[in-house]
Amino acid sequence: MKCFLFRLRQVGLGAAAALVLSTLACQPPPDSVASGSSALQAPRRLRRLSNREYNNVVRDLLGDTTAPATAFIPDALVTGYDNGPDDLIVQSDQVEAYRGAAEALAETVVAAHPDVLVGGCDPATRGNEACITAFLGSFAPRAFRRPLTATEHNRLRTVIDAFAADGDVWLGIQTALEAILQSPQFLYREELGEPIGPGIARLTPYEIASEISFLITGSMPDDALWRAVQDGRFITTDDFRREAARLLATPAASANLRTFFHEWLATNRLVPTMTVKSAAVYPTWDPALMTSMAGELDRLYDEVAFGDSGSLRALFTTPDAFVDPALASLYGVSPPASGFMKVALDPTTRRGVLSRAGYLTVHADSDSSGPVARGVFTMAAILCYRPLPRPAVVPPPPSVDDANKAGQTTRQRFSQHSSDPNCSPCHKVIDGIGFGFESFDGMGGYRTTENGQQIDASGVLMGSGDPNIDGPFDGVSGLVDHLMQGDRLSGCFARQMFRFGTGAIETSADEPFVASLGKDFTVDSRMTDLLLALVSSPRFTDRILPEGGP
Amino acid sequence: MKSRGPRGATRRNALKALAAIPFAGPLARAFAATGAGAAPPKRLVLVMQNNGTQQANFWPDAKLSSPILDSLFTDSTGADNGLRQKVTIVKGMSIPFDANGTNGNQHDMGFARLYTGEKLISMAGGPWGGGPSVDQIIAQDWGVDTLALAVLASDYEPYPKPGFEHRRSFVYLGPAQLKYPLIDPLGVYVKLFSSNDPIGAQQRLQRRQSVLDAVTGNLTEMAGRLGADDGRKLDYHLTAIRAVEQRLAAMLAGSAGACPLTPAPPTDFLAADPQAETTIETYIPDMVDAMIDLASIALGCGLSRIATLQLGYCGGKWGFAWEGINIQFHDYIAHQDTSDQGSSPENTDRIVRANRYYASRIARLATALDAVDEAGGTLLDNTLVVWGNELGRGDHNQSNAPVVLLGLTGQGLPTGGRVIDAGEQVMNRLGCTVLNLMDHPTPGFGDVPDCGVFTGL
Repeated sequence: MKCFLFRLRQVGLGAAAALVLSTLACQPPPDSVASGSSALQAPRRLRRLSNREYNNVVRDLLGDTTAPATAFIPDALVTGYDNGPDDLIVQSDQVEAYRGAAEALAETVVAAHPDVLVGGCDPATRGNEACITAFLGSFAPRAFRRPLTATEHNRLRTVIDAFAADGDVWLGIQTALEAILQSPQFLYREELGEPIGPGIARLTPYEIASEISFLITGSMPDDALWRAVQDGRFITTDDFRREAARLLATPAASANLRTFFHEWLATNRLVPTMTVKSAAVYPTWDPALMTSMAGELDRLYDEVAFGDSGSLRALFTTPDAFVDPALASLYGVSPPASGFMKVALDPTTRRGVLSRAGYLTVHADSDSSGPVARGVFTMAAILCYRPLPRPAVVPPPPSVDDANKAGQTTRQRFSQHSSDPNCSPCHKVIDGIGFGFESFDGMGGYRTTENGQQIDASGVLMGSGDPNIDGPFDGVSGLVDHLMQGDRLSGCFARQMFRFGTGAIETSADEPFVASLGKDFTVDSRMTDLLLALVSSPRFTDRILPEGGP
Repeated sequence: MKSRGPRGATRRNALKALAAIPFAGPLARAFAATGAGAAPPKRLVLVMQNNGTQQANFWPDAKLSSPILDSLFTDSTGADNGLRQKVTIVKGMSIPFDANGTNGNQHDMGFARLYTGEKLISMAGGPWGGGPSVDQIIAQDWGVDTLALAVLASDYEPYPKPGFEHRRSFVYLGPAQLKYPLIDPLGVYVKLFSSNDPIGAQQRLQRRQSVLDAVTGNLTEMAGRLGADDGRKLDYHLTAIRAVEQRLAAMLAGSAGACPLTPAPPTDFLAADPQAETTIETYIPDMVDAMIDLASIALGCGLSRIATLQLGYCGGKWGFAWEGINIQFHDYIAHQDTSDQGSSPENTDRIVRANRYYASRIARLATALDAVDEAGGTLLDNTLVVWGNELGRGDHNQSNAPVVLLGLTGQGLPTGGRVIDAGEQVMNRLGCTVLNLMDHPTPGFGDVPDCGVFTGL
């Protein structure tokens, strides 16, 4: 094999590419919808809080903003989404990390603001017993996200009594808080449910409240949702949609969906630990620029997701950008005095998210524009092409140094991809897309020449299975025109939302539901409508009961 | 509200309470007094190297000498370090090409299968190990926790791309469930030695025990509600809690679990550079040495009986600037090694230099263990060190993947040093051999249940 597929040294493929990345080569369309399955295929399960969710929960439960989980072992995210995907477990080092965090959190909260734990109860005036009752009756259920069982209550009471020595109740409460923060009822989201029919369970209102809250805000239910459940106002699918819609309007939802977009488009890799650039090739590169790039995308994602249209079309076509002084220089627009300013970029060159510096920086090699990386990611994450195995051994392409010495463009550097029949069947598809990004270098700068030659940003989209979008195009703007046709982009987005929403990779049994989710969804639909459709579906609320019961 | 600092501050706070003696060097003296008494337990160290070796320069002659292995058998001055007498080198091990429906390549097959023996299983197409690795099987037998260590920093690939998370570890708790290694030497140090911290007073330990009891009770109760569904998650969690609980109980009893010495801490690499453990390779040699020293001390102290050490990601891309190479190894060196004799003198020289580095680090580990007297022998005599490799040759060749066994002298492996060359032997025999040497009798390993141990062992 002489071709050099996938020189993905530092390509930063994103969430959906978690499914494909190394393997994606040729281009058959995804399987058509599998037949003969019901939408009710989700097993009962536990979802361990991701490190991000852990930080959010201790912030909302205890008022702690130190993000202690930053020091935990990084999560592995098989779905690509950092919201308690199926595969997260606890290893011994994590037990110790949870313990360290719990001890520090408990010590801090008891010393600094114990009211959080006992609702303002003062043992000196109201007595220990009243404060213990407040702790176990009000705080502990919020931490467990449901009422405690009698056994759980008694177990915590035993801990309190063992250490509330000499009349000082606080050491007992502090120790019980440590236990709560290390308990599975806190560390996992329960999706266990109660039987509602033969072989079927429905999640309890408390469990559904948790699922919706974590899905939309990335954290535990807020006070209003908690009260709705307690008051019996959270029973029907209308209730679920109502609360989900309410939560979507909160700042926490913005932050959480921002995370979704960053993970889907892999722009969460705009951090020095994940993205590096060659100083020799990009002498003006400064890792701090990634902060500006991420800041721009934060604002873009917020505006698109919660703006007037809230659509994929807006995300992929908007000329609006948010620039700080550093980015203004990169984009060639007038800079703000400080902070970020909304500007309109030239839509012929900078159209939508695919043309933004942050996106282009992570989808590049460390020393070049990375057309293979860009092509692969577009296929994998944005169009959901189905992956095929890659070749066994992939010789590297000519080095950037050699290409520069020869005065070659990046397109020419990869010329073997088209001339070598071992490479071309797959690379004509991958590079066909990737070359369309050639107007942008590896840190998102616009260019018209490379090594003295004119840039050729012509590309071709092929093999998508949708004749509406296949065909030649010119540059990113031309590619976007193709993406706006047909239902490949909208269907792929619905698939990504399914993975994000369920914390699972779809099985063949899930395909009918994934298809139904995307059926009426178009590039002009409001993206968050998919979340509302999801939370009121049986796939979200119901579970299979094992034979013989749990 | 009182705020706690970032990770570095937490680590440093923990250190303040620790009295220190010099970290490097005194292991033998520190343990000299502990050598007598009951028969010492066996220990195990698994090492994983990536990208294969240079075949013509690895396999030794009749005197157990080769350009690469000479670095295993000599100290920094070139003097014989005695390890030739305690080595068994297995030639001919092959790793079957079997992606098993995943998108894995030969790197993944070696990395995820060498110590698990199981077929790869697909996680969204990704190639993950199909069962527990041999260290975890033995840990279950012994009822102990393991110390999983790694140095993963890389200029070229600072973190696995999405879809490559499986390349972060070769240690598997179970099917597709990795145990992730610790990558911060100072963090490892705090983990190992914080029990020596005066703030770890008796009341603190008692509270921890009480909390663990409550947590275990809650786990058990939840497991009852969960039934068979997804129960494996709580199984892993319970196993992890027991490991921590065991260490805590020993501390409470004031007996085992506490090291008789508190070595000085290793360098705070994150303080030296926040990217030291991720995107820059400057500190790799020092971090590797620190991890090796920590593993040695943990084994010697009885803080751990099983350690694993991973040198880079699966298919790693270190540049080896510290060996004067400074070229991305995987793409531009290993892949060019297209024959056992090498593709060019220059490329071969680079591969030899990189592999001499690996050999010298294994020597650092083994000689540290061999310097500790234990029950009439040495700590190495009671330890099996396995130096494994995901490939045979850097161009993804899976034949003749090098296997070096050190130690356990007189306890299943002979003295005198030798090369076993009994023709092609399937990879599974490595795990089977390790299990049997660790007193876990089994006729096979992984997906070859009757493979037996290495022929000629």
